Amino acid sequence: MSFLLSCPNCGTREVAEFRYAGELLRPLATTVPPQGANLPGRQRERWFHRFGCRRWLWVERDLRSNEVVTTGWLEEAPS
Amino acid sequence: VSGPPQPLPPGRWTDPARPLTFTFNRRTIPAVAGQSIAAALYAAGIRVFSRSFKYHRPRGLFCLTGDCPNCLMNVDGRPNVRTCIEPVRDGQVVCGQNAWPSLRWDVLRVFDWLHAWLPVGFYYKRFHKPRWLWPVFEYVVRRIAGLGRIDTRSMPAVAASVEHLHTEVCVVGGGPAGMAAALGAAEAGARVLLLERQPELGGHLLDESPDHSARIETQISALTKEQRVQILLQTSVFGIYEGSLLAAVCGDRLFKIRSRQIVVCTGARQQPEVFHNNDLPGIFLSRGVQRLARLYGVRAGHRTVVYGGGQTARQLSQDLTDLGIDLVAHLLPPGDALAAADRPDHPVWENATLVKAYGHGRLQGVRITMGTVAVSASTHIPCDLLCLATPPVPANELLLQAGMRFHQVQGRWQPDGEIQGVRAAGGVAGTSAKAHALEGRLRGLEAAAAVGHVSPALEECRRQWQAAASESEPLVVATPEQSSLPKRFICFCEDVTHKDLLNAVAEGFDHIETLKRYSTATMGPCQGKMCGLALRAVCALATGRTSAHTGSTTARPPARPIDLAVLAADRFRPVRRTPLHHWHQAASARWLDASGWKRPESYGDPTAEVSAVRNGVGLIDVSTLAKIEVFGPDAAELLERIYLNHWSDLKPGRARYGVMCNEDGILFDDGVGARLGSERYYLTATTGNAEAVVQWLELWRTTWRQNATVISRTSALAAMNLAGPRAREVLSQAAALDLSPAAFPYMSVREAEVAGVPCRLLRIGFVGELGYEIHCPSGHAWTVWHTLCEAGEEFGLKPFGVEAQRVLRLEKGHLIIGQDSDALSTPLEAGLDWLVAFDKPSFHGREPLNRLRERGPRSRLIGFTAVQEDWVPEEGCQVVEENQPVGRVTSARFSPTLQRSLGLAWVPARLNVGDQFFIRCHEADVPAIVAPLPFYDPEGKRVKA
Repeated sequence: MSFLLSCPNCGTREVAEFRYAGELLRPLATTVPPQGANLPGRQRERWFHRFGCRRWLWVERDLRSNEVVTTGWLEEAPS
Repeated sequence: VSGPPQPLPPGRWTDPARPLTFTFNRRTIPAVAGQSIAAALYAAGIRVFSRSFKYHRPRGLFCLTGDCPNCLMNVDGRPNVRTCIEPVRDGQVVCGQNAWPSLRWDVLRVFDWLHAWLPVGFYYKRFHKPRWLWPVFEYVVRRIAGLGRIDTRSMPAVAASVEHLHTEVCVVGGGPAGMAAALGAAEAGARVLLLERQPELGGHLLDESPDHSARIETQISALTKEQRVQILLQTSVFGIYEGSLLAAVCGDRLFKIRSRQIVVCTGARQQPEVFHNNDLPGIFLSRGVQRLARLYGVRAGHRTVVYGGGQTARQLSQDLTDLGIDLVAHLLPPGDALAAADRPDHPVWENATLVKAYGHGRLQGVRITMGTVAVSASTHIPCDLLCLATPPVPANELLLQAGMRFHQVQGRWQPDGEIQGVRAAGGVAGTSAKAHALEGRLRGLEAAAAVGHVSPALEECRRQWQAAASESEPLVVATPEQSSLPKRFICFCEDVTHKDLLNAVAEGFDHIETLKRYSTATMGPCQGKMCGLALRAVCALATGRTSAHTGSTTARPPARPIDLAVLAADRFRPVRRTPLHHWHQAASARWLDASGWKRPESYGDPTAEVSAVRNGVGLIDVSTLAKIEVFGPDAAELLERIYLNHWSDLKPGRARYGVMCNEDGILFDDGVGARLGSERYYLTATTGNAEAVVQWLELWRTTWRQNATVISRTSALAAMNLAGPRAREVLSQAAALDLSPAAFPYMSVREAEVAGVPCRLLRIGFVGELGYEIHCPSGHAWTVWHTLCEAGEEFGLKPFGVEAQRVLRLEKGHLIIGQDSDALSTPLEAGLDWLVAFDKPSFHGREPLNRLRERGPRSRLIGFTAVQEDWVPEEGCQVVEENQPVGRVTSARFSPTLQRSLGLAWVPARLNVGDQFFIRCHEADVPAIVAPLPFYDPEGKRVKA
């Protein structure tokens, strides 16, 4: 895994600068932990820019090609 | 030609003024600086360089480009060094490998005569029955198999390092195409990185003829003038990864190169011809003979036969004569005929096929047939050198890795379609030699244009290329002949013959990938460089499929062998030191590595340190603790949802122990937090989770869109814990604060000056005594620490380390998350059930914990004492019941306070206080008894004193 991710603050960086934190699921009311679908195709994900601005992002990525379609702040993620 | 030939002029890379010596199998070998090890050995008369993998056949120099497996030797303790490209150094110790007792006389050569009993896949067929013999087989096979031995005692320490490079256009390969590509891209305005694996630019031009020197010099001087070009020599690229990431290695240095555009100009290579005994020493790829002579000044032989067609082979014949090698015969393969006009003065055999080579340990002659004449009517030609001028095939490993596919047009392998961001030029793209530079320049200009540097020269260059491309001459390619002779090697690395492949196909392994795995062809050190296309051709022929349908095996990094040490090169790992590091150092602390930090494990005597805390007073540096501030209107609500227990009802000025779980109800972290104001909290978390807890709080703050701020203050603040019955007396001398139990009770927080430094004081009791955790700005930590030490002198204050703290907290029965819990531990089972506030509407882990509560826990973390009072089990020992593991010991120490062994262990939930269970330690089951927690001061009088 060596693709590039674009951070809204820091610009295009190596994926190794980021931490992956699973699928972006609906905001938790913390009842039952929701399960990710993990299907091939486009997926919305949570990423943390560890070695950069240290903020949470949401990323839309194609799991088959690692093509990054969209990135943005997690606060502004579509629900 | 009469008389002995003149000595060759010195090689291009050698310096005859600098002679040196090295040893080969205890024999001293003379050499000159710049030679490769193999060239020096060849000049000294060595002909057998290695023994083959399976049959232990003698193997000699063959490719001289570092591609084939024939010259692998042990150099200064490093196994499998490709000596044909490894420069010789004074005093080097070189040994042959895979042979006993010597390279010249190898006992296991017997396998060569037993080949009929060692067919393809023999180890799958022979070694599975009788089953009881397998351990014997395994012992023998393990001793015989493998290539090279690692001597762990003499392994040199490799200080490998990683470097990251960024560029717009990266050109891989500095031959004529690569140099033109780099120049073209740079002229267009792009930043260019040019990588060449040899010590000099020029590629195949260096080997061929001294006439090329002027042309190379011109190119090199143009490149060095160009500011935008960076050239790295002796750097070989071994992988292309996603995101246009190139991995290259130069000695001990690993380069990770990000380039927006890549131009691959890795050139072409030759592959062996298939005939009986085609691996005899004395048989060379023609380029190997030229490299040996031109680069190292060593003549490969005296009487040579050249095999091959086309213009290259004709030029070679002339070249060999120039090198003083007597040309006995030139064999033209079928499909190539001599034009009437060019009649050379050496014998030419048209329509010739190589049947076999013969000789004992080295080539003495070849047997050929002409046209359709039967093998029985074959002709012998005595010689000591056979030059295979086989047609070039692309050195396209990197392009295959990138996903490019190739097809054959008029004998040339050319790329199918395009891969985004990756271009090929020159020999690797199947272009004929005279168009290499033109194509290189075009691809360089195209790559520059793709990153926004469009040159006006691009269109003109494209027109020239289209005109030139149509003129490429076809290549003559031989297909592997059918023959009953057995030793026709396809794969030199793994000793796989033509017949083995046919047998494997007959046994049903008729897909190229299964054929590869079953026969192990292409799986040796060369990774198919010498045999990949032959495997494809044989597979296609044997299965009656087309070459395109057969395809090739998957290409993966590394494209060239590299040392594992380089891949393991250390990343940037800073050492973290607390502000008090040098004080500890001066006090001769023993260091412990904890999550990147250096922490004092002890100052020499942990038992005395424990006793000081229990009976007097001790001081420990806990600056590594995670320190987090959370503030804002939603701060309380955020903590309510993250922690298992309540935080909104905590009164300002009070502190509380808190535990958090992940969404699955698994213990994640714990620590003490304090409320500083109605919207302000100060939290501590464990050293190892400092990063993770801040990220966790920030993730959920963001997800729930709460109005709160999370700030990590871990490095900004130092912390120290003053603990022991006399802690109050010590602190009262330094702190401007009423320390009486009524004014500053247990589990509360105060802000006050200590030694004139503004500090935050938490009265807590991790070690089970009256204690104050003092947090101060890192820059003042030394003052505070020093003042406390001075004030404590009269009370016998002792600094204590992590080991003493572990014993103290164990006596108190406090668990350490990560030490006493794992990825399956829940708070309900870890004895923290009293803390989980199920009355809260939501918190992380509520649902899974609720289900677990209904079901009832299966195991529990309990305290135990060993029946034999001084016996301490090792941490990690299993708890066993009827020979089955049912739990494990997580912490165990001898308690100097209670004078007995005690510990924490996971056991089945049904065990109660007083029950006996068994701990398996070194195959003995030792009894222990479940004990009530805490072991020490169960009423908690001392912490509240």
